[in-house]
Amino acid sequence: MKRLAFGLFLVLANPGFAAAAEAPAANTGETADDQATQAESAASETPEAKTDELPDLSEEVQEASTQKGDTAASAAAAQKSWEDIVVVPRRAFLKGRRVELAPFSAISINDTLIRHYSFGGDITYYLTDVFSVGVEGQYFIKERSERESLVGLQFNRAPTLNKFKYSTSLVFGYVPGYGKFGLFNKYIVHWDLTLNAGIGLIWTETIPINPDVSKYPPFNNLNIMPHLGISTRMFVTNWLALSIGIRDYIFDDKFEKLDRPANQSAAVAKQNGQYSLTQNIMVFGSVGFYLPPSFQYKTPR
Amino acid sequence: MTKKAHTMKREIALLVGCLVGIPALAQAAQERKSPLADAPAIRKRFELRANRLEAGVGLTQTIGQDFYNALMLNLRLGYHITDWIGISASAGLLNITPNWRSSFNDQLNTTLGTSCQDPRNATSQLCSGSTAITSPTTDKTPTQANAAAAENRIGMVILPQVDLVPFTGKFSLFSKLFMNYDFYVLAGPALINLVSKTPSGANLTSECSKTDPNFCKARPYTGMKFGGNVGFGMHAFVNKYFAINLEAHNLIFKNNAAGRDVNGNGNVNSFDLQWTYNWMVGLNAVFFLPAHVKVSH
Repeated sequence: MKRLAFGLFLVLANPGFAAAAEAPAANTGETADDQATQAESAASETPEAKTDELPDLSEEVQEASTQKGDTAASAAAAQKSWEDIVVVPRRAFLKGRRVELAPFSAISINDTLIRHYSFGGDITYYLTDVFSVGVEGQYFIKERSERESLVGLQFNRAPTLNKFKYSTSLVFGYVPGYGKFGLFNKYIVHWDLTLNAGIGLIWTETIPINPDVSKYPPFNNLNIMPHLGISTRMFVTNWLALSIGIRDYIFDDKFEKLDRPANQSAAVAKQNGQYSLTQNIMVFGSVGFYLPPSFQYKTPR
Repeated sequence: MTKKAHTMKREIALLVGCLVGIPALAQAAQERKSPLADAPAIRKRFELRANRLEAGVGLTQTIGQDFYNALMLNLRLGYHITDWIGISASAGLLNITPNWRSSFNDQLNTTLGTSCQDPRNATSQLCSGSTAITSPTTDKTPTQANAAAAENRIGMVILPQVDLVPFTGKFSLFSKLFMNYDFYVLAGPALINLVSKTPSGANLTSECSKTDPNFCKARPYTGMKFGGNVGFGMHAFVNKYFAINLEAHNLIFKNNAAGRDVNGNGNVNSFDLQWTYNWMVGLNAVFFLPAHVKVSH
């Protein structure tokens, strides 16, 4: 009989527990102040919540406080807590004092006659979450365009071109923007925007107008090359990021002179060469690996 | 108590235990599932596009054209069926820079200035006398006027397209300003009106004195052409009904921009057409209607 009684007790007790668990949600005895506080708490704890809606909550808080006869100081405190909410709370990725190793590939986009593909890498040290300094190196592979091949046939002219060989630069970075987006409203991806500026060296080589290099040997140039850039980075894990960007390299390059005689040495041809300001705009895609591979938050947000 | 009664009590106890235990286990299993498991990534989200019309005006510009770039007055009209898919049309209706030469064309034009076909150079050192390297009868270099008359440029584009919007979010600038934004990819057909400096290259035949196709038979490839259009774009919402729209298109169509022989067969015809990739970027100020925005659950 004792077992039977115990079984019946469990049957009766089980809905009791369920009702107790649901009680907080069903409790209608909360004050407006409590509800507003909960709403504000939910808003601040949910990064995806639209901050545009928060002013309404803040107004509710203020209204509730006024109704209860609170002082102006409490209203000011409520306002202060609203102002304390940042646009993107708790960044998902911290870069400060970490090193990024980023192999990349790039393609030039602004020259009608010759296209360059490049392969290289960036090694970047982040002084803080927004400032960085690094070095960049790249190796170029040239490809003459369809238009270049038609210039001779269609216009009886041959263009003077230089190919890029390799380059290296010191790069400074600044991150003015940080954000996140929803992918099909299912996944949240954090990203940032980086501005770059740097200075370096580029090695180039002339492509002789006359393809007979035994009589028209090419010559090399070493040029000082400043650059500006902008890129965006999407954070995949705590140690991995994908980046795309654009960089504009500007340098004064020396080209072969149009009336170069045959059998002129490369040194003399270089001495007689013509300078021309060259702009090389390249689009980059890179994968960044961060060291150390993890990070710790040092502040609540 | 008889053995039969004892067994019966055990069965009753077992039955009660099952009645209590199975729902409790099921409930526990349900409780272990995260309440956010099926939740959308963003709750209470402004559906800034769903069932809204988009209309705007701006400028669009070609990039990396062989001979002439175009800056065009652009109109954009669209309707977003849902928050993530829409149909729209961008139209670069008026080329306001019809004589904007590319840097390549500038350099080419300079070198064509020494063509011996040009009557002004007939007595130059390059074209006559002991220092001549060619002559008006043998030089295959077209004159500047001949080259310019055969080159085409983009006069107008009409781009009906489908916009797919997988990325939406918000960003901060200097941790102060923030905007809602979206990224979208687009695809559709393209109508491109190619025009020449002079109608049908009118001044080509008057200059013709040779039989070389790249001089005498050159003719601009003009008219309304059909092609494809793929690209991507973004909206940055200043408020709930006004946004800055940035769009990049790659127009893919067959063209012979120089209007000259390409395959070397001595004629300028359809066999000289080549597939070309023509990038355009546009910046528009757009309004979304109705101004009211639905908020998702």
